[in-house]
Amino acid sequence: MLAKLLKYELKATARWFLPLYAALVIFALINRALIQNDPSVLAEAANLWKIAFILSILVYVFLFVGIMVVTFVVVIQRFYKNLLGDEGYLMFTLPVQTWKHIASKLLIAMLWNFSSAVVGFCSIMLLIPARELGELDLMLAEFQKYLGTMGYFSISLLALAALAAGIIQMYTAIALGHLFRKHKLLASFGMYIGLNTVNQMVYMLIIPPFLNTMIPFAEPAFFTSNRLNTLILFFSITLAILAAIYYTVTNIILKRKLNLE
Amino acid sequence: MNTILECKNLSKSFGATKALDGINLTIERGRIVGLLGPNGSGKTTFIKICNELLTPTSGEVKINGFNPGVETKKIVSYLSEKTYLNDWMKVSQIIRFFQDFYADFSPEKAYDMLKRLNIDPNSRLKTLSRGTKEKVQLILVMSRDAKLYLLDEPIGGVDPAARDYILDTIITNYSEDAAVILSTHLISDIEKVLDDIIFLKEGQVVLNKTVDEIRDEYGKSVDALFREVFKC
Repeated sequence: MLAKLLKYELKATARWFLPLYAALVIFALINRALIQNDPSVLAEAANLWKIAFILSILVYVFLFVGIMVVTFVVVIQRFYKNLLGDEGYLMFTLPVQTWKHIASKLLIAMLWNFSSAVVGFCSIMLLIPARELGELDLMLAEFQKYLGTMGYFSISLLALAALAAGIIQMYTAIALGHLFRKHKLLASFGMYIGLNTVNQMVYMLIIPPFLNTMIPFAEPAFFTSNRLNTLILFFSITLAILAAIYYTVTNIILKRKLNLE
Repeated sequence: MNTILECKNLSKSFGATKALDGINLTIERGRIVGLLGPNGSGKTTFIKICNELLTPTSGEVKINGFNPGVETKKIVSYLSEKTYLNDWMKVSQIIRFFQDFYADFSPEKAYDMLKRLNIDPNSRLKTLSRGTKEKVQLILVMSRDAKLYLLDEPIGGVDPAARDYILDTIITNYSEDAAVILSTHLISDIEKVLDDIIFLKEGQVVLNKTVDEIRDEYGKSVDALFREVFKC
């Protein structure tokens, strides 16, 4: 049943993202063509070129920001509207466990966040002239120097855990807000701020003691790549545990305290 | 085991208001039960608790021996009073959706009913009128071979001509081992199909009898009795 939920969740959300991705890539290509054909000789053509360039860059930036906003809004809207709005009458009467509803929303939300980032990055790559791509190699070399090959793994894990925790935290805030009889959206917003405070407290309680045990501060070689990776992994695990707790809380609320009105 | 639904001392409060107040009921298979009462008497609340959309404050419901959950959802076909259709699917896609999630759903039945009610399977759900949406929902619900149909105001929003067809569908579509509970306040239209009557008033059951008993004991129709009991 989870596979079926995922399929419908993907279908319901793809109609937002795919056209936007396509438009972004097309405008990145248009900009690329304009940059490569800069007519610096003829004054008249230059003016026309400038107008076209400004317009297409504006559209590109507009699309870029639009994708970020849509990614954020769709995450919230799918959970709020499809599960806790009128559509919830259909979803929650399907013979499917509640945790699967949450999982399908979460996994697809993570997928779109990830692909929005990839598409955004690729579109920027299209804009950068080939001769400047060497910069990227330098950046990667710098990354390798500090974190080593292990760094690719630990950073990916951190991104994944942070993404999951960030999304579930929103779900939990919405589910908690839904327990209120009135002003549910306002309550959800308040709950989100509350949960953020909880996060901060957890970090403050856990991170400094961990640092103290790991690194004797007197030591000269303070940040070795091993230490940085351990720190990143430790932080990833903290986030993953937070995500698991939020997931459980959301599941309990939707299972035992669901009140669709 | 002829009982399909049983509830004991079921209560539900919203803040200070009691929507349901100690309901005790037993519904047998093979019956069509009218859940009747004025607005705010607790009809919808009762049906939503049976579907796990609301959690009871106290007491419990058992459907086929289970508390509301995945097991009961497999055998309960529910028509909500809200339109729950999303805005991106076509009629044919929502039929596919039901087929995917409910093992007892028959797409043939659904397409047959769509044809009878002149609804194009290729139209988008969001372009349908309110009445047509209600018809589509009813078609989806009645195309299942469920053990219990919970129909909340099934004929409220549709025209009288479609009403007859829908009632006909409800009686002919359910089998002897299934029960139908339908809530409404359009009693005269629906009286002829009902076996049992439950009157709800301010969250309590004030009458629970068969239609024949009502005719014998009171010498009047259910509609007339309703007007008397709930006289304002």
